[in-house]
Amino acid sequence: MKFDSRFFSLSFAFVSLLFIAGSGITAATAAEAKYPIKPITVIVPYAPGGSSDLVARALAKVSAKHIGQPMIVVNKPGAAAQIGLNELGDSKPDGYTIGIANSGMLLQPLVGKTKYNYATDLEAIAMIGQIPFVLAVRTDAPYTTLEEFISFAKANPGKIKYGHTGVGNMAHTAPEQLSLLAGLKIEPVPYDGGAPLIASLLGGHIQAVMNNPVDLQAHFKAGKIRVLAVAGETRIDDPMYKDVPTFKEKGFNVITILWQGLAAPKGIPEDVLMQLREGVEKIAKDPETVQAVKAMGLVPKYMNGKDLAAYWVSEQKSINKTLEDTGIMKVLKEQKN
Amino acid sequence: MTMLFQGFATSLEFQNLLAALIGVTLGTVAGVLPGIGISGTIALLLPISYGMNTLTALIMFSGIYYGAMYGGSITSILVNVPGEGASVVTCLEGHLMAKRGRAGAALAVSAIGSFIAGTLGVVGITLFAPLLAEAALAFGPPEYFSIALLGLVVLTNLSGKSPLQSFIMALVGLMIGTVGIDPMTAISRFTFGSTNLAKGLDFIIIVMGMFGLGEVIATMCEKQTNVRVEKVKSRDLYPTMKEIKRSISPIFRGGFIGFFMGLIPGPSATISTFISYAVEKKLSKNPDEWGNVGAVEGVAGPEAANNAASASQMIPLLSLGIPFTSSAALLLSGFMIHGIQPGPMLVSTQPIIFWGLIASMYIGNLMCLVLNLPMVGVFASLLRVPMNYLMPIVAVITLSGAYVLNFSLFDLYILMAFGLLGYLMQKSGFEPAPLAIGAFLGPQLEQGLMQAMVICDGSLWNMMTRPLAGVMLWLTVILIVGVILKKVVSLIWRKQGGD
Repeated sequence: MKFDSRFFSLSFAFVSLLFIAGSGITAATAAEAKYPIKPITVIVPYAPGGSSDLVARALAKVSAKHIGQPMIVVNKPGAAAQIGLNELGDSKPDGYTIGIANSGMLLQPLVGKTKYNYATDLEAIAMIGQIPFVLAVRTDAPYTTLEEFISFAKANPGKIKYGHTGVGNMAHTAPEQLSLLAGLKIEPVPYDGGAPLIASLLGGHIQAVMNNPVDLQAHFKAGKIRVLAVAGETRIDDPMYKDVPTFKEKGFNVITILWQGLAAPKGIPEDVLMQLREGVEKIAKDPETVQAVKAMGLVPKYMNGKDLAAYWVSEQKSINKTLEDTGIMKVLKEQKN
Repeated sequence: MTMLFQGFATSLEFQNLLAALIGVTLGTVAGVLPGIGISGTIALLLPISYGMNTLTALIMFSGIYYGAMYGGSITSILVNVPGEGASVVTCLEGHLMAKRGRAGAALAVSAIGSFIAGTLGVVGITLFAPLLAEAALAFGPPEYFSIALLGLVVLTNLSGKSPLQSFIMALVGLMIGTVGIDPMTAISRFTFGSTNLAKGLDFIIIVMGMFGLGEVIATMCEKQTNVRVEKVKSRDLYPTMKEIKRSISPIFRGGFIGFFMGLIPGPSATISTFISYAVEKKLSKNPDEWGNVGAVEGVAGPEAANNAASASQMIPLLSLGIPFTSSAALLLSGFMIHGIQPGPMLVSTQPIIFWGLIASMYIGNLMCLVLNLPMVGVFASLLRVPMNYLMPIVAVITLSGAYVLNFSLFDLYILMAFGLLGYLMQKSGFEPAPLAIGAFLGPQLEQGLMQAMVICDGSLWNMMTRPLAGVMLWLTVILIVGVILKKVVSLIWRKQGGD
């Protein structure tokens, strides 16, 4: 067998080099003429496959139809989304780099040293979809309503363990807010992701979870879990959840909403921003996008950039208040450094 | 059964066969190139798959998923660069075999082992999927902790040279595993204010540095006269009858270990390779070969284990819709993009998709074998490349692989630091394996203990009386007490002998 293995290895190395070089290229040419003249990069600060990633890919799918250029989804996960977000904040404000913004980005700037306060240091483009958190328990649990859950927790302090996916994140603050308002003693168990969290709930190792229904719906449909209450202003607009009351109806002001949207770096020219917002509005309202957003378990909800910017700031204020009230902020602040 | 045959009929359609072929080929390539891995490849193909028929796309994604397990061992064996956690153990014996000219044998055994175990895994899915999925849920945080602890105790002395040295290395590994943010209280540890360190050190970067780059530096520092140019005869590219015979039982044992471990949430594929290695070493009739010239059982067992584990990890994904690993999570998003929600309802609502996919996995595993066996020769001949050309290429592949993992330059500094550490350890006679195991199990142990303590109301006794966790914890206690007793008894004996 005459095989030139050296040539093979060299071309192998060459390909690897190309791979490095290729990933570093961020072409930056003038944004004059008619925006957009080239594809738009969408930074997703999470790993592929998450809800943010799915939203970005759903938008990218119909992008060319509405703004004449495709969107290219780039995943930059790590450090609780800060790596991707900082890259978005640092990127050239020419309208060719935008990124996913969501409710998961509210916490970091409040408790730690982040380079940007995303709520004010990024330019909101639009909200695409949202979903309120829900309180879920196993179907065979001895409580079938929120009232029963609360009286069980009161009668058995410390017996109810709930899981969350990171100190201070919404799966942590929401149950803490409930326990504060209802005067409960429930114990948090930290997990490093939604999957082990749900596996633990299904296996009966923890008793409750407050999370977005996206990850829970399959088990809800299969009758393995019961949803006791919704942490939204109104009930979820989905026949599946039409009988589930809100916390507000039951007298507890627990509001925790997951939302997904788009943002651009600050300093983007006004006319480019306007075009971007208009273009994204068309993309967001495309029936195909609406369908895709629904399929992933979110409620499609378009909100324009101006409103989102205001909402973003007010949400951050309210989560800050929750953190202060529940004492989580004190824990986080004490532990830093 | 009829459903399975219907599944075969569907998956034998031309476009689906093609999709399986593309999937396993890309998967093998992704496995070969360290760092890129399953996640990167699936992510790359997600947008392209939009236009495809749902089942075709899913067959391709799954092909990538299990195909990568075949490719993963190749760089481990040839150049000591583990591309993912599950092929770290393969470096130990596999690379030693390559060093004495048995690279082809190691590669072939790993391909055959992968095929047998992968197929056994799919048989397991076909027969028991929903049942096993329910059983998997019995494993909660106290059980993860107990497994990790038992694993640490059993595995620390993997190399068997000096128990004290291995123990110290494992401790260092555990310490490395604590870098980052504490899961319970969000306190930063050893981060020196760096956000890059806050997420902790990536296990795969650590092992790519210690094993791969460490080996490169060590080779570079050898005298040029030592540079080896292997003369590999074509006959030597394939395993001997004896090597195959020795591999059969390890393959089946590894397959069973991997299949059951794969049902446990978390990075159980990697742990299953460690366990298979430890089991084979204990059972081996040629203990002096291990860690010395390279034992073929040490390749066959772990390679079978990781393929079986990757197959059984499909069970929680398909039957519960819960991905237990990050690559399974990406596979899940492949399903979601096509509007398929895996879970308890999948078999009844989408029988064609479910059984078509299962059938394609039988076919895909066969394709992997057919694809990989002839390539064994090609890959093994790569070692004919003189070291002064090969090593820089390995360095480039390792660096690029580490970079594409997170697209982080910082990771490259970590990689180089561990490369240097790996070299220094090798020079001073320290084993890198216990350190790697410590760094791998550290975070599992820590988080598991914290979760378990909340769940068990802060009482260790509550944990030791849980059926599954209890068995493992008591076993750990017995092992530790046993080691101490053995030591004490031998001391007494020695004393008496001296009198």
